[in-house]
Amino acid sequence: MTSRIIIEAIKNSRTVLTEVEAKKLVASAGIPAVKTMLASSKADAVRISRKIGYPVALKIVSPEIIHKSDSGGVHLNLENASQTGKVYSEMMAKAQETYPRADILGVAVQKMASPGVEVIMGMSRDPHFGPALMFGLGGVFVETLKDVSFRIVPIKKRDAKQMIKEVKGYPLLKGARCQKPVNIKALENMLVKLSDLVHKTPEIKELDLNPVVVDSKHAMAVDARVILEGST
Amino acid sequence: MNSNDITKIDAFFNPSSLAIFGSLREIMGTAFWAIKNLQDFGFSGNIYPINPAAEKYDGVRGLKVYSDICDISGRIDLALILTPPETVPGIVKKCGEKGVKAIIILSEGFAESGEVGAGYQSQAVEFARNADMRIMGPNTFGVVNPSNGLFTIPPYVDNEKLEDGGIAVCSQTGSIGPHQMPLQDWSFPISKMCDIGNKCDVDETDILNYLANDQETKVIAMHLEDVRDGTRFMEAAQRVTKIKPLVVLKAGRSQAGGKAAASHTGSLMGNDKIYDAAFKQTGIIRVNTWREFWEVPRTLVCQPLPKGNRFAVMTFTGGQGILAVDAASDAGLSIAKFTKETDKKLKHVFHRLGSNPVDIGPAISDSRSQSAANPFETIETVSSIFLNDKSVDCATFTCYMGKHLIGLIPMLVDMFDKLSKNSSKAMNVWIYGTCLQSMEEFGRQLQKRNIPYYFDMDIAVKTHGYAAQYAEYRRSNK
Repeated sequence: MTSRIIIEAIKNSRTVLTEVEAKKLVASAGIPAVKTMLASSKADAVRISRKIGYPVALKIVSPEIIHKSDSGGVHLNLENASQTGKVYSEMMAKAQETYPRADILGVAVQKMASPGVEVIMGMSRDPHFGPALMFGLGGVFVETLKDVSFRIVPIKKRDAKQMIKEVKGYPLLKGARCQKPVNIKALENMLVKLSDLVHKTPEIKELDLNPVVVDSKHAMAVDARVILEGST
Repeated sequence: MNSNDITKIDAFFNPSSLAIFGSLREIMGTAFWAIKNLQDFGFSGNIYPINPAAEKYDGVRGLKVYSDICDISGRIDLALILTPPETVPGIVKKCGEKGVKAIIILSEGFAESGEVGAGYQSQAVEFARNADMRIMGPNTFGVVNPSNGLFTIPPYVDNEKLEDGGIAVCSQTGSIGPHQMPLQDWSFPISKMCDIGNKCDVDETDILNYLANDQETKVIAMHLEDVRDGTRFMEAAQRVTKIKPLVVLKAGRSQAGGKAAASHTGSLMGNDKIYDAAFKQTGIIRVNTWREFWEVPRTLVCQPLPKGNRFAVMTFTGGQGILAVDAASDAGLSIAKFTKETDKKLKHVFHRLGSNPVDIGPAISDSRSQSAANPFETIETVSSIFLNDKSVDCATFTCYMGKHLIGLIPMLVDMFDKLSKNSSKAMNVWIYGTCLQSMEEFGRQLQKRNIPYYFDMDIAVKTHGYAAQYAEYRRSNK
């Protein structure tokens, strides 16, 4: 059954889900994602922050703005209500100025992720083989070294295991330099669930969970991006 | 693949009769030459030459020439077409009327040459589909089957027969065929060969599905430039690798990957990475060089799959041993640690033996030692002791061969044969030495007794690595 989030987006001829929608979609597939709520006013932002607990992160929400951080649309580690309120107003003003024609829905408020190792997971489609999953370590590993692995959807548990082992940065997950090893099983589960989700949802054209933060106990998607079919 | 499909593809490899369309001029590359080759290779079925000027010929190479395929009274399984592109659609249509099962279009000048050729190609496919026939090619060298003498390569000029055996070779180009490698000299055992050319109809997946069920084929080696339908290919490969090894050489590795995409994942996804993922998921052994394409199947076809990745090696010098250990580690193998019992037995033969790699040199050259009195017996004893150690899964034996040793080849071959027969471990032999002629003779005789040989230690060791990886896939996908 197609998710209501996707049906709604297609109905409004949108091909990019907002971060709040994307996280809801992956969470409904059993993929842990940092709880994120949409604030459409300054008061809303402060109220939500208090509810989920400081420190929080704010990110601009607009279907037209994909690269949020390029336009000052991301602020991390906000400690209290006055900071949150101030950043909310500044962020909205900056976005409206930079993207005068964009439909800006508000700001996503989420709890700051606890420290851990950043990894990336995602899906894109190949013309011959269909949807394929990607796994890699975040930051320089993916950006510069392109240290990533792929598997064709649907994947099995053993494929997920191999994907993780295959990247050169794997020793970091095993706990290099006195760090505790991260919960690799949790990453494997996420990959298998991601495979199930995209396998059952042909409407998804591309997907990024970037970053997923993993520590010795949990793995959680901190940001999610979903592009639907029909976009060019 | 249903039984009707299998029968149709089988007609490419096991036709009881074939018609051949093309020029009967007595020069290389014509239908005449193809007929000559079929006869030289001892094709067991009937051959019917077809030529519009049939009345001009009073038989060709002892065969009656027909002007129309429908004039032949018997059944025709396979048609070989060697005529210019513009004539091909009409001939295919005629074949349909006659009830031919399979057609190989050997001529070129179709989709690979431009729009006009592509038009002839799609017309030919349409006529074939209407008459429930399959087409291989165009732009192909066709098929080779040593067991029945079927050999369709028109410009082939040698007539040495191929060794009938367990390796099927399928390629997307005529440059991976029996004429490209000294297969006879290598005693390279072939079950079937085919070149799928432009893949206008029969593609890599059809061939895989057929070879999966082919009793004669023990190992499939496939050269690919692309895969027509990824999902279908993966399903077929998964079925194949449950029963037999599939070795793939995928060309175009260096093609630039990445593309403009809205996601990070999309921008990092390259064509070759996707092929690589698909191969890993289906247990395909991906080789990266032309050389490996031919060398790796030779161990897989005649040796058991290793039960693990623990490797042992016997060398004539310590230096060779260290190089072999490096090669093993590159190939994903671990160096077997012999049991205490093996260590004791080896030390009993010669005091400096005991660990892996096994350097046999001192044991056979130390004149004060009993073990040097009969070096061959020592090699045999030592080999058998460590090969049968329970902590060893696969082994490479080094053997020197020089001009003056040529007379010893039968004895050495017997020794390795006995060793292999009395063991369930995968083994191969690295031959080195001074005289190419004796090395080749030694290798050929070993391969004939199902013991793979290599002139290059790295390949010998790497082959075990590939086999161990594949065996691991098989175990975890039961």
